[in-house]
Amino acid sequence: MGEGQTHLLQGTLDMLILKGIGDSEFHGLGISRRIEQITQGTFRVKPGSLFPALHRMEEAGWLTSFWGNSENNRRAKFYRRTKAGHRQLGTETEEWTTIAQAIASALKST
Amino acid sequence: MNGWRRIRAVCSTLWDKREVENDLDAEISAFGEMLADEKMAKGMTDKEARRSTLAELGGLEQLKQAVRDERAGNGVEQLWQDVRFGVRQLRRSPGFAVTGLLIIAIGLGLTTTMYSIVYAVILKPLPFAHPERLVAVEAKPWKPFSLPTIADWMKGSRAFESMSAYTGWSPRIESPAGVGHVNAVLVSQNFLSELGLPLRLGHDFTQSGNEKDCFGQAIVTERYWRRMGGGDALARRTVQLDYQTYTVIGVVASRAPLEDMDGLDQPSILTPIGCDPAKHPDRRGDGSFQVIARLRPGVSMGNALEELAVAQKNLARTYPREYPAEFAPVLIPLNDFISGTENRSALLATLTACGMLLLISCANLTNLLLARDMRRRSEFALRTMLGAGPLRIFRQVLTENATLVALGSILGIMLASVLVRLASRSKLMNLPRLNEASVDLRVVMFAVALSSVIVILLTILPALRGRRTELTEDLRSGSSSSSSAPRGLRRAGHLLVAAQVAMAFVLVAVSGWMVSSVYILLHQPLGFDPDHLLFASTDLRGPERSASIDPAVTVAKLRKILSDVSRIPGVVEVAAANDKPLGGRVNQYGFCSDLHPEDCQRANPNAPDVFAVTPRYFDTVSQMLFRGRAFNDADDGKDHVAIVNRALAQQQWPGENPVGHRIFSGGLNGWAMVVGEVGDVRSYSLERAPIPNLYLPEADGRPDTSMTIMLRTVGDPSELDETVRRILREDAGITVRYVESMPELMAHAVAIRRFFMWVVAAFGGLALGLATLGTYALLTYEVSVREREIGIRLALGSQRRAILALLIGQEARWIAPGLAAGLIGAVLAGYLLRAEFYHASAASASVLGTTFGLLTVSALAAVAIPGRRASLLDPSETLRRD
Repeated sequence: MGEGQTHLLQGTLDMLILKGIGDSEFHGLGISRRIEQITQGTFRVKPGSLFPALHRMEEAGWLTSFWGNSENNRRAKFYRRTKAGHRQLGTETEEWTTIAQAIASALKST
Repeated sequence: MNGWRRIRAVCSTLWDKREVENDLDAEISAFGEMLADEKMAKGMTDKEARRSTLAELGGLEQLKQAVRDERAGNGVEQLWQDVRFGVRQLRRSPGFAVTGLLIIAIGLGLTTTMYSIVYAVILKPLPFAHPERLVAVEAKPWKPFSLPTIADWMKGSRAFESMSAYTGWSPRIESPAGVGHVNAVLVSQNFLSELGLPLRLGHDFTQSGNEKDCFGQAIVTERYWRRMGGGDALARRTVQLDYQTYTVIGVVASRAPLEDMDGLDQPSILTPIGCDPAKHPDRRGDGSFQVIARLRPGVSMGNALEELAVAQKNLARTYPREYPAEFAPVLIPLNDFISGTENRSALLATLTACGMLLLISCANLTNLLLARDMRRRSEFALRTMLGAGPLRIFRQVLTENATLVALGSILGIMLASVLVRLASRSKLMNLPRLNEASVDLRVVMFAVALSSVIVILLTILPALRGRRTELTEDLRSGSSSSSSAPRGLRRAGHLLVAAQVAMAFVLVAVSGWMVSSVYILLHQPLGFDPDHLLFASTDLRGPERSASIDPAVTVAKLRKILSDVSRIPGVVEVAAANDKPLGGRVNQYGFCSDLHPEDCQRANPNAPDVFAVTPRYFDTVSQMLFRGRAFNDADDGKDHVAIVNRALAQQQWPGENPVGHRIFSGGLNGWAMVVGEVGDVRSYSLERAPIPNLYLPEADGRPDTSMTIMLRTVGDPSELDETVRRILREDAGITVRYVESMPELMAHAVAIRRFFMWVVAAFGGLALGLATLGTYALLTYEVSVREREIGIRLALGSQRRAILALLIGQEARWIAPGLAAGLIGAVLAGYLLRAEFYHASAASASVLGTTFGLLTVSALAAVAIPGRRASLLDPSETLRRD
């Protein structure tokens, strides 16, 4: 990550991608920008992390891809969340919430 | 990720590789273009936007590789890449490839062949029902048992489900398969059911106990059945055994190949005991049967033996005249009994020798690999520079070696299947169940497991070295070939050479012992002269085989035969005895001498073997007559006379002249005067030392009807073989079992030993050659990397002889411990294999000495040749070369 950026916790990238895509379709750059947007600029995903993750998740069956045209009329590969991806987001969110609450309560305790 | 999806992903990575790659290319370039569009929209110029985009992407190749690494099929693909690289690497150095492949193919092929033989002969379970519960009963001091003994054992112990008795005979057979001799076995009626032998046709012997139910019945093996014409109908199929008709009531299925089981007398035909009135198996003293027993489920062999020992103790108390107090039964697993203890240890020793040869080959190959890795140091350094981690390099080396070993193993398995086929068909090795040996799935699995071990062995040392790679040095050394080799490599190489020397020492010493065993066996004094000696085994009872033949008739028949064969041109002497020397037949009767008449009141374990011989017997076999006289035609039983051998004389009348003493023999059922003392002969076998023997005249008492005619010839005895057969056959009153010459018998007796001797000697030679070659190669390499150093030494005034001494001295530091370790290993191996060696202790030291000399000389030669070459280097040239 560049300067001024927070390091992405291991394993959270998949969750952010799944969340970011939501029920619509995005190409790689779109996903990157979307994540930037929903985290209020805290995380900027670089291509070196993004593409390996996208391909891995596609192989895992959480995403499907197709070729389409971008807003600037460029041919690009678009990604869409599958049902399995939706389920995966559910489990990961649950896990994350548990961890976040645990850590928050640990930090609050005196 | 579920399994199916994963497999599909792997497949698409591997199969649609080009498509996937193109897709990735397009995706990433589209990403770059869109990023540039975005930047231009923010006001950058075209050029600036492109440069900034490239910087952000951070190297297209790395990015793509990062994606590839995430793919499921990535591991497989890399493996495939490494395999192809390995094959290319092999093709680039064909010399190394051929050497490596041959080393592995021969080493693995031989070991696999041996394993397949060992498995078939020793390890494979017998084709009987629950073979683990079957045991053979043996006993000390003698083995054959009588039927009453067996019945009492069965009654006196509860550990056994059943016991069955059997004894081999070799009758004349007349059947649709022809006329000749056949191996048959007399069995108790429960023999087949106890073993659980499967029958292909017919039924087992009935166990009613009624003699009429099994009279004249026979069961044949499937192999003999096929020779008789085969078929599925038993009706009216008969065979004639010794002129008596037997009805075939059953056929043993071929998956129980009894013909190959030496321990069961290799029978083709089984007939029941107790149905032949010519046999009287009810006497307690008539010990002529061997015993196989089946343990009850859950009973251990130790428990069974305890019970049997107790039963025997009780028997000995009840019948003190029949069983000596020290008579003790022994149990052996049937599998071991049938494979034979001697074969067992010989085979296992040969398998071990194969393993050692394989280890030596591996050590040699490792040295080759180490040397090759030296040449590839710069390649590995370059790979590391380009980002290959140590694990990746290790994987590459592992795959390269695995490729080499896999190719070699395929060749090795092919070699093994040829060798196994040759071995199982050869008559040379008379091993039980050898023809069941084949390269089957189990053997292939063994070979695969073995080759995995080889791969690991080959990879460990070079990998350990590879981890210490110093990049800069290695990269630099890639350009100049004559830098000094790293210490680690040289130490590893020397260690391997020392190990090879040690293992070669053991193999050479063992083969030396084998060779000297066979030599001593064939050249030791036997007590008689085996050359020019022909013998014919005959049955004087003739076709009728009546048990009650008139003694006068027997003697007259024998006289006539002897005078007939003595007229054959080329025959010098003829005589007959109830067994030939080295024959192994035992006749023991109650015995005592005039000094210890009380010996006749009990079963005497020291009773001598008794031979019935005709006059001129001792002249014919050239057995020494020390004192007194030999038998003559006047010794026809009017006065009982006997001749003792030296061992018996020493046993009964130590230090005295035996002539004039008197002995009692159950064979005569009376006392006889000792009239002569003869030398000791090896009456059992080549291996067994002479024991006390008593000789009685054939014409005295009840003459033995089973007689061996001995002929001393002028020329090659086997040339007279046919003539003797013809003359004996003309006499219708007798049957001839076999005619053989004594040298033939001796060659046959050492056949297995001789075979193992050749195998081990070949291994010893190979091992010696490999170790010498390994030493030579290492030193040649060492000299080549130290040329510069040697050049400097020479330039500074060092003597050439000093250079040679330096090199030899340095090598000796490694070879000497190797020799010492080999010496220890050889002594250990000699101890473990002492049963295989005949009189090894006598030859032991000289064999060790010879081995030591042989290895030292060849190691020195292997060191001296490259060393001399080094000392002849011209310093002005070697120093200028860099």
